[in-house]
Amino acid sequence: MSPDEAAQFHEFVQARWARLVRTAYLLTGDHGEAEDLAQNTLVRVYGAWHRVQSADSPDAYLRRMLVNANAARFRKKRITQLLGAEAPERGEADSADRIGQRDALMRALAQLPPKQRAAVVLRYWDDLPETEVAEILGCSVGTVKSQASKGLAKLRADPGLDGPQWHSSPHENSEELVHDRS
Amino acid sequence: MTGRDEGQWMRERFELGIGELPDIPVPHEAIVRRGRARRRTRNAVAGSVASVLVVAGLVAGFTLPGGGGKQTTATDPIPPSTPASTAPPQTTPAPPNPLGLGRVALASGPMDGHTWELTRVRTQGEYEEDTYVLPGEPTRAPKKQQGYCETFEIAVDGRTVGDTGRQCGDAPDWAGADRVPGQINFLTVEVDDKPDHTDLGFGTLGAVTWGFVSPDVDNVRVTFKDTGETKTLAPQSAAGVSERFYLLTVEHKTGYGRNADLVAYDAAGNIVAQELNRQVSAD
Repeated sequence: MSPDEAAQFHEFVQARWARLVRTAYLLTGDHGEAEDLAQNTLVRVYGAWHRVQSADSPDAYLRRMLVNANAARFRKKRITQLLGAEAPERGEADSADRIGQRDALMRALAQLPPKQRAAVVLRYWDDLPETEVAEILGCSVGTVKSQASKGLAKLRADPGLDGPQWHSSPHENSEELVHDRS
Repeated sequence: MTGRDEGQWMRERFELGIGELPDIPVPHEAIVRRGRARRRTRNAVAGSVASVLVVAGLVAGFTLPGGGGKQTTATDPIPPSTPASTAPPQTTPAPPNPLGLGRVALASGPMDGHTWELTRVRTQGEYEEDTYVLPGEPTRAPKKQQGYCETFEIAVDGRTVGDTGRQCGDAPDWAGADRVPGQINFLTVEVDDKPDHTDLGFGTLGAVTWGFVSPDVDNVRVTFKDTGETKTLAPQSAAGVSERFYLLTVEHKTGYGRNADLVAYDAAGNIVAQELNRQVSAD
């Protein structure tokens, strides 16, 4: 890897790490697994840097690698425990509301099958269009629509995601976070 | 509630639930270190460490080019310590291309109704040594080298769906050059039935493990760590390839993340080279 490429790789990683870990957390429900998943994905990106750089959308390539690595993680470890069943261990500094919201969210997501969960996360957390989600998941747009719709319906029906704590949270934080994405 | 509203409802839950997670420092050094190590591992080439090829297709078996249709299958019930193939290694006339430059078909076979083919592409060329430095370290100018570059491609139904990446070094024959004594050759590549950017995809259906062996190797014995099953593989040869190689197929349906001991023996039963507890299936 030339110095120019190295600098580009460094910049690429720096700009995407925080977001990538959050997406990985939503997919895995575990901080440690999320960090491992994000790091493993970027290790693969390093090895395929020429291909990633020349891809039409390096970000789509990155997400595809992340989702696929997560699928492989499921296959490999035969994960059967309820993901997100334990409260996140890094929430000490958070408010009780935040911890409660996060815990409820992860418990609800853990009910979804992996592909349905990925469809919901990519569609509504990463804000990807259905066509891009379809390409990442290797399925049709129709499948994405149905998977996301079913997933969303299950989450809507989860009482943990509709409690009063969700309505009392200050909305300005949400706006700030959306801005923070870029 | 409209679909748009549903989406907004979900986005709000995501933002409130995890938007304020504390940032974790970027483990840049670890990523680069592991990325380099991964490249070196794949670099059967320079490191002379060998080759495992993971094929995303149901690998039912393989044939060597010019091999008269001889087939072997990893899942064939082969008794322990018995050569998987009793046929003698296939030999072909010496090619008029001693460096093996260009495209050489190594193996092919049926795969879940499709046909896969493994091809080596070797060229003479210039390459740069890896000069990656971490932030804050002084940069080094890339040093140009004259040598040989090589990649292995996998095609399904005539369409290339993945490759090992282009690896370069100073010798044309990676397998023979600079071999680490006692270490058996192998390389891993994942492939799908779709073009290469999806090669880590859900469609991984099987795996092919292969690597070059020295002339004194009589057979390679594979012992799966999970089941204890043993297979014994006879070295194969292919037109345009100066060295023999072993090749093992592992079907997806037998499981992911399977590890095995790979041990090469000479005719007297002495161990020539080995790799223990290496992954031989898709992960």
